[in-house]
Amino acid sequence: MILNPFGTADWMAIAPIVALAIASLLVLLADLVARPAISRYGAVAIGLLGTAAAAVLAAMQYGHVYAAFFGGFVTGGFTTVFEEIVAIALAGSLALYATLGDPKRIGGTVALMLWGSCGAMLMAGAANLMTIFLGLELLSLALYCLCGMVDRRGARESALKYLILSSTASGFLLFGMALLFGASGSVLLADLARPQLAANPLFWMGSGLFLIGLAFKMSLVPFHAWAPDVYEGAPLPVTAYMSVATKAATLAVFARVLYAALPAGTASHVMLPVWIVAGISMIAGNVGMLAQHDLKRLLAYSGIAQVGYILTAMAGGSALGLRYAIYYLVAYTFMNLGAFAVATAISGEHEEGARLVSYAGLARRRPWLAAAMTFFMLALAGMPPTAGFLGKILILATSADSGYAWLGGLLVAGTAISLYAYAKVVRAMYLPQSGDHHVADLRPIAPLAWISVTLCLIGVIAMTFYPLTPSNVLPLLR
Amino acid sequence: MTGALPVALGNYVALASVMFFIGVVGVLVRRNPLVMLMSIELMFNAANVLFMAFARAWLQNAGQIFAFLVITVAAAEAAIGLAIVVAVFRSAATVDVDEVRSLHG
Amino acid sequence: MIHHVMGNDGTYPLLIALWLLPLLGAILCWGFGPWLKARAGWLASALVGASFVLAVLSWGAGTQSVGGTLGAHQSLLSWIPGFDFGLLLDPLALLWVFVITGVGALIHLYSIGYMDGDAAFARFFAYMNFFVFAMLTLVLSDNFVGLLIGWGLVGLASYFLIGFWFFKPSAVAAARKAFVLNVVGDVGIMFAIFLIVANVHSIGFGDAFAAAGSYATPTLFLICLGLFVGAAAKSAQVPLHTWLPDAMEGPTPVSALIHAATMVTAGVYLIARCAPLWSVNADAQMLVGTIGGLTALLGAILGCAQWDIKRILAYSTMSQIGYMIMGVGVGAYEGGVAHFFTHAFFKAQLFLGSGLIIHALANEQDIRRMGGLAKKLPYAFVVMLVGVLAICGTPGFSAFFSKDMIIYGTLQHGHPWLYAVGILTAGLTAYYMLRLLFVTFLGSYRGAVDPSDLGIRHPELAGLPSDGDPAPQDATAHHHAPAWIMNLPVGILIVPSIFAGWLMFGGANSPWAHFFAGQFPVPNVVVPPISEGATSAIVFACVLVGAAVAAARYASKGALADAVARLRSESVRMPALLSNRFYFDAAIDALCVRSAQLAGTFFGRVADPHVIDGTVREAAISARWMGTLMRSLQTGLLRAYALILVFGAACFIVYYALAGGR
Repeated sequence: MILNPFGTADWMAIAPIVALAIASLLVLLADLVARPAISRYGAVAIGLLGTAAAAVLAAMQYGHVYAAFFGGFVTGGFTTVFEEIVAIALAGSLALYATLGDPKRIGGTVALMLWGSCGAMLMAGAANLMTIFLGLELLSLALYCLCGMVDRRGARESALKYLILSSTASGFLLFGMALLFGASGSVLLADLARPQLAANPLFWMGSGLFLIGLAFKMSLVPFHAWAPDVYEGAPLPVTAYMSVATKAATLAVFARVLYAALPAGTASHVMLPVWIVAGISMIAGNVGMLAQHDLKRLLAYSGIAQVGYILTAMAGGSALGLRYAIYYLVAYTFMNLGAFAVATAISGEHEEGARLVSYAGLARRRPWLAAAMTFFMLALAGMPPTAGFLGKILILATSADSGYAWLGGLLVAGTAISLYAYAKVVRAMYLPQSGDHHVADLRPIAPLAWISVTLCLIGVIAMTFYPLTPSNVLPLLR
Repeated sequence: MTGALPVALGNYVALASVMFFIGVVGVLVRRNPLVMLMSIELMFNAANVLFMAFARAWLQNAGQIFAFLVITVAAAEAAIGLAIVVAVFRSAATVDVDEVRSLHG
Repeated sequence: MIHHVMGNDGTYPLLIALWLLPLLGAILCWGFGPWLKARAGWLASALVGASFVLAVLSWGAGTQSVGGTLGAHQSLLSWIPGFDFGLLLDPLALLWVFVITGVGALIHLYSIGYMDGDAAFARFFAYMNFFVFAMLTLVLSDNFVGLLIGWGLVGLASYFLIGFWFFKPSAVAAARKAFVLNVVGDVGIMFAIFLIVANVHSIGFGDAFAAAGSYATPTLFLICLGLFVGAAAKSAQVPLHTWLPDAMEGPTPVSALIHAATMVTAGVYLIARCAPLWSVNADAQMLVGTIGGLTALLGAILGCAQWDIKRILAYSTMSQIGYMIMGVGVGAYEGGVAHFFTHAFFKAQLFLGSGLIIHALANEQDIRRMGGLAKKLPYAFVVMLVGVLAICGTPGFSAFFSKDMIIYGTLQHGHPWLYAVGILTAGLTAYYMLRLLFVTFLGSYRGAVDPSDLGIRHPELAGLPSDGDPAPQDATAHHHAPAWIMNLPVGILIVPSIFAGWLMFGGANSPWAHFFAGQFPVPNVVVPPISEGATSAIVFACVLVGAAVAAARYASKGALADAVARLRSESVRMPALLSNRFYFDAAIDALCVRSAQLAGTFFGRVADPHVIDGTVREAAISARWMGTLMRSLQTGLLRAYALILVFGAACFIVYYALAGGR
C-alpha cells in the first residue's frame, strides 16, 4: 500500500487540484490554437468550468478524513471548507477578469489564476512542511506574475515589491521549517505535537520563524507593509483574489498548526506573539483605513484588521472558536468579493473604479449598485443586521470564554474606529456632491459583474440567516 | 538514532544562521533588486544547509528531498524575479528600488 | 380578554401581522407610487390604522400573566443557541405600540392634507410607513439585536424624512448631522450588546435580565453606559442633543411623529426595558437621572431664546424627554413612561397645530411675524391653547399627573437636587410655552411688517431657517385637500391631551399601576418629607410664576401696544446685558428669566455650533490624524518595508529565543 503513492485514494484526495491544473492547461491550449477566437469570455468560461469541477470534487470529500501522499495531504471537512473558499474567490475573480481582462493576455492570466489556486488548495490540506512550502510558493509565484501583468507602472511596482518582500518572508518561513525539521526529525506536522519538543529550543525558534512567514502572508502588523501598496497596484481581480484566497489558505495552515501540531500545553506560549500582533492589527488596520482615498488600499487595511478578528476567534484553541472563525471567514469572503465586484462594475475601460472620488454621487447614477456597496460596507464594519455583526458577536463570545477577552476588547475598539472609515465610502456615494465629473462616462455594466454582485449579496444574506459553522472540521490531522 | 557527523551539528546551525543573517542584511542594504534576489537565495540556501545537516543527523532523507524542492522553487522564483525586474525597468527606466515608489501612503 | 386569538402553544401569530402591516404599506407606496397617486396617503393611513386595531385587540394578550411571564410572545427565527429572534408584547411594548400606531395613524391622516400636492407624495408615505414598521421592530423585539436593528432602521427612516426636501441644503445638512450623532449612539448600544453576550451568551432580554445580579459591578455599569449613550443620542440628551432642533428642517408631520411622539422617546423605552439592569446599579441610575435633569433644564432655557415656532417646540421636546429620562433613570419607571404617553398626545397636537399655522401663513415659522392669529385661526388657537395648558401641567390636564409622578418620584428615590431641577424646569416651561402662545396669537398681525423692524436681520444667526417648508407653494394654485383632513386628527388628539392623565390618578390603585403590574422591578422607596399633594402644589405655584412673567412680558397691555419695537429690541439686543428698557420687568426676572435667556443665547449660539459640534469634528480630525500617521509610515520605499518586516521578525526571534531557552 505504502509503495503505491499513485493509488486511487491519493488521486481522489488531490482531485480538485488536478481539475484546476487540467483546466489551466486547456486554457493555455485554447489560447495557443484559437487565439483571436478565444475571447475573454471563452478563457474565463473554461476557467469557471474547471473551478466548478474542483468545487464539486472538493465537496465530495466532505467529512472523509484520510491522509494521502504519506501524510502530506489530509482531506476532511476542514480541507473541504477552505478549498471551497478558494474556489469561491477564484470564481469571483475570474468573473471580474471577464470584464477587466486584457484580451491579449487573458489565456496566461486565467491559467496563472488556476495554478495559484492549485497552490492555495494544496495549503488548505497540507499536513507536512513540504506540502505547505510547495503550496505557498505555487500560490505566491503565480501572484507575483499576476500583479505585474498589466501595462501600468503601479502594477509592475507592486509585483516587484510583492516579490522581494514575500520572498524574504518565505526565507524566514523556510528557515523555520528547517529548524522544526531539525527538532523533530520529521516533516510531518503531526510529529511536531510530540511532547518532548516542548523543551527543545530548536522547536521554539523554528516555530517563531515559521509563524513570521505565516504572519506576513496574513498581513498582520508589522508584517503588513506590503499589503496596501500591492493591493493598490495590482489589477482589481488579483487584489480581490489575494484579499480572500491568500488569507484563507494561510489561515488554513495556521489553524492546522495551532490545533494539531503543537505539543500539549505549549499553545498559549507558542502563539502569544501571534495574538499580540493580531490585536495590534485590529487597531492599526482600522486606523490605517481612515486616511485612505483609494478603495483597494482601504480594503487592504480593512483586510489587515479582519484577519485579526478571525484570529481572535481561534485564540483559545477551542473547537467552537474554529467553527466561528470559519463562519466569519466565509462571510468575509462574500462581503469582500462583493465590494470588489462593485468596484469592477463601475470601472471604466482604462481606469479601475478604485478611487473614492469615482463613487461620488453613485447613489443617483446607480442606486442599486450603491445600495449593494452600502450593504457590503455595513457588513464589513460589522453592523447589524448583517453576517458581519453576528460573526463578531460569536467571536466575542468565544474569546471571552477562552480567556482572551483582551482581544475581544481590541476587536470592539477596532470596530468602533472602522465605522468611520467604512462610512466614508457610503458617504461618498450618497452625498450630493459635485464629484460626478470625475467619472467621464459609465460603461454599460457587464452582466458577469452584476451576477457577481448579486451572488455575493445572496451569500452575505444567507450567511446572516443560516449559521454555517460546520461541526465536523476536526480532526485536522490523522 | 542520530547518525554520526564528521563535524558537530552545532557548527552547521551556526553556519546556516550566519548565512541567513547575511541574506537578511543584504535585502536591507542593497538597492538593486537583482542583488536583493541573490540575498534571498542566500537565505533559502541557509535553510538548505540546515536541511542537509539535519537529514544526515536524523538519517531522514526527507530533508534532502526538501532541499531539492527548495532549489527548484528558488530557480522558478529567480526566473520570475528577472522577468519582473525587466518589466519594471521598461516602465520606470530604473531598477533602483529606492526610485520605484509611486505607490505609497 | 381576547384569549381566543392566542395560539394553543402560547404563540401569538397576530403579532406578526401587527408588525408587518406598515412594511406592506411602505412597499406598496414605494412600488406603486406613481399609480396610487393621492390614494397612497389613504392606503398608508389605513394600514397603520389596521395595526392600531390589532394592537387594541391584543390588549388582553399583552397584559396577561401566564406562569410568571408577562405578555404574549411569538418566535420568529432560531439561530444558534442563545440567538433566538422573536416578538414580545408586554404592557411596556403595548403602550408604545398604541402610541406608534394610534398617534401615527392620526399623523398619517393629517399628512394627506399637509403634503397635498407635493411632487413626492407617495414616497413620503412610503417613508412614513417604513418608519412605523421600524419603530414597531424596535419595541416588539424580544432581544437586543432585534432592538438594535429597529434602532438603526428608525435612524435611517428619520434620515430620509429629515432630508425629504433634499433640494434644501439646510435639510441635507440636518439629516447628516442627525445620522452621524445616531451612529455614535448605535456604537454605544453595540458595545453594550457585546458585553452582554460575552457574559450570558444570549441576546434575549429574558436571559440578560435574569442574570442582572450576576454581572460584575463595573461590567454592569459599562453595559448601562453603552446603552445610555445610545439612548442619549436617540433621545437628544445633553450633550448629544444638537441634532434635534436642526431636524425640524423636515416636514412638520415628520416632526410631530418622529421628533416628538415616538422615535425620540426610544431612549426612554430602552431604559424602561432594561429596568432590571438599572435598578441594581446605583451609579448608572445617578448618571442617567442627572443627565435627564440637566437636559430638561437646558432644553427649557434654550426654548426661552428661540423665535422659530418649530424650534421652540423642538427644545420643549428635548426638555420633556429630559423629564422622562430623569424619571426612568432614578427608578420612577411608571412615571417616566406615563410622561411619554401624555407627551405623545400633547406634543403631537402642538406640532400639528403649529403645522396648521405654518400651512396657513405660507410657510412662515418666525413667531415675531405672526401675532393676532387668535382671530384669524381660531381653531389653531384652541388647539395650541389646549396643548400649552397640557404641557405646562395645568391641573386636570394630562401632564399635570405624569410630570408630578416624575418629580415626586425623584424625591421618593432620594434625589432632592433633581426634585428642585424638575420644579424649576416646570416654571420655565410655563414661561416659554406661554410666550410662544402670546406672541403668536395675541396683539396684532405683524406679517406685513418689514422684517428688519422686528429685529430679523440675520436669519441664519437667529437660528431661523432662511426658507420654510416649501411644499405647497401657492395657496390658490392647486386643488387643496379638504380642511377637515388636517383639522380632524388634531381635534381627536385634544381628547387624550386633556384626559389621558386621569389614568394615572389614584396612586397604586390607578388604572396605570394595574396596567403595569409586574412589569418593572419594585425599588425601595423612602417616604419623603414632602407629600405628593404638596409637591403638586409647589409645582403649580412655580408654573403660575412662570405664567405670570410671560403674561407680564408678552400679554400685558403695554407689551402688546408696542409689540413691534419690543420684539426688535429683544431680538437685536438679546445677548446684551444693559440694553433692556423694561427696567421694571428686568428687575422681576433679573434672577431667572434674563439669566436664562443669556444662558439660552449662549448655548444656542456659541456652545452648540462651536463647542459641541467642534468636539465632534475634533474627534474626527484626530482620528484622521492617526490615519495620516499610518500613512506616513507607508513611505513607498521597498527597503523601508523590509526594515519594518525585519524589525517585527527580530521581536519574534527575541521572544522565541527567551521562551525556548527557559
